[in-house]
Amino acid sequence: MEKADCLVIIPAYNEEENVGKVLEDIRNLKIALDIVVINDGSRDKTEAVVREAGEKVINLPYNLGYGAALQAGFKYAVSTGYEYVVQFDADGQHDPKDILKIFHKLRTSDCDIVIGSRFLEKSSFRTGALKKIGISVFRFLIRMTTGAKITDPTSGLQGLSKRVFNYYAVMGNYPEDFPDADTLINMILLNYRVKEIPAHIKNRNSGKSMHTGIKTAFYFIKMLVSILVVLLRKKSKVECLKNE
Amino acid sequence: MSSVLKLFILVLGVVFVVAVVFLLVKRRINERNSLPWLAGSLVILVLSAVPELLDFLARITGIDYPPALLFLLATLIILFILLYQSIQISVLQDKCRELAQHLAIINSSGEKTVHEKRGKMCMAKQEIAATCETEEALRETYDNRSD
Repeated sequence: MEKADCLVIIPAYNEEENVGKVLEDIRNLKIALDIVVINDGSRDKTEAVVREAGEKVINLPYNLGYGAALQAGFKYAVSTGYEYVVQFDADGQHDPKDILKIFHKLRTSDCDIVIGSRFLEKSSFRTGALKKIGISVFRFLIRMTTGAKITDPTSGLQGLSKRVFNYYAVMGNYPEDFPDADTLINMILLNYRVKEIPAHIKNRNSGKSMHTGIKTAFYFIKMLVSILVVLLRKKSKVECLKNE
Repeated sequence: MSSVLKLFILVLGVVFVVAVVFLLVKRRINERNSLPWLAGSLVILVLSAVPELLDFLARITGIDYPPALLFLLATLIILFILLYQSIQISVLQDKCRELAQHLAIINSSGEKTVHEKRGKMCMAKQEIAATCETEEALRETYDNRSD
C-alpha cells in the first residue's frame, strides 16, 4: 500500500462528542488520505475516541491554542513528507466532501492556498451580527492591502500546498491563536496564490464555539494590530531589498 | 535631607543589593537578569550617599522640585525593565511552544495507527503470496523435470 500524499490535520480541544463522527465521515470518502488529530491538551476523552477510530493522534502536553496545534500538524506533515494538507475542524461544522474539492483544486491548479468559503454560495449557516461586521472589515482590509478578493478570511477549512505548510511550520511564521486575515495578507504579499471555493458549513453538533462574547471584541482589536504589524514588516522587508 | 532619611535610603539600597545577591546565590535569578536590579540598587546607594547630585540634576534639567526628577527616573527605569521582561516572556513562550510541538510529534512517532498496521499487513500478505507463487512455480518445474 502506497503512502498517501494528502494529510488532513484536525486540531481538537475537548471534542470527544464530535471528533468520532468527523473521522468516520472523512474515512467514508474512501480516498487515499491520512488523518492526524492534534489533541490540544484536551481534558476529556478526545484522545481515546481518536484511537478507537484507529487514527493517528498527536498529544500536545498542554493547551497551546488553535494556531499552535495546527502548526504542530504542519511540522508533522513536513517531517513525514506530505505534498498537500487540509486543515479541518473537529467540531463537525465542515462537510468532509469539501476535502475532495480542495484536494482537486490544489492538484489541478497552481494555487498554494485553497480556502473553503462559507459566503461564496448561499447556505444555512448563520453568523452573529458582530462577527459579520468583523468579517466585512477584514475583507475590506485584505482588498485594500493586497487587492485580493477574499470572502471568508476566518475560514478554518483550508487546503495548503507543500510550499505553504513548509513556511508555516517554521517557528514564528504562524500565529499561536487564530490564523486569520493577517496570515492571509502576509501570504498574498509574499506572492503565494490564494483561491476560494464554496464550502458548506453546518451549525455545531455540540459544545462551545471558540469566539464568544467579549473575546470577539478583543480578538478583533488584536487582529487589527496583527495586520498593521504584517504591513510594517513587509514594508521594512521591501526597503531592505531596495538597499541591497 | 535629614540624616535619618539619608540613613533610611542607605539601608534600603544595602537591603536591595543583599536581596539580589541572595537570589543569585540561591539560583532564583540568573546573572543576566540580575544586572538591571543591581544597577537600580547602585543608583539608590549613590543618591543616598550624595543627595546633592539629585538637586544638581534637577537644576540643570529645569525641574523645580528635585524629588519629581527622582520619581520620573524611577518610573522610566521600571517601565524599561517591564518592557524587557515582556520581551523575555514572549521569547520564552515561542520557545516553549516549539518544544511542546516537537515533543508531541516525537512521542507519537513510534505509534502505528490501525490504517498503517492494516497497510503493513496487506504488504506482508502480498509478499507471502508472491513467495508461495514462486515456490509453486519451482515445484512445478521440478516435477516436470523428474517426469
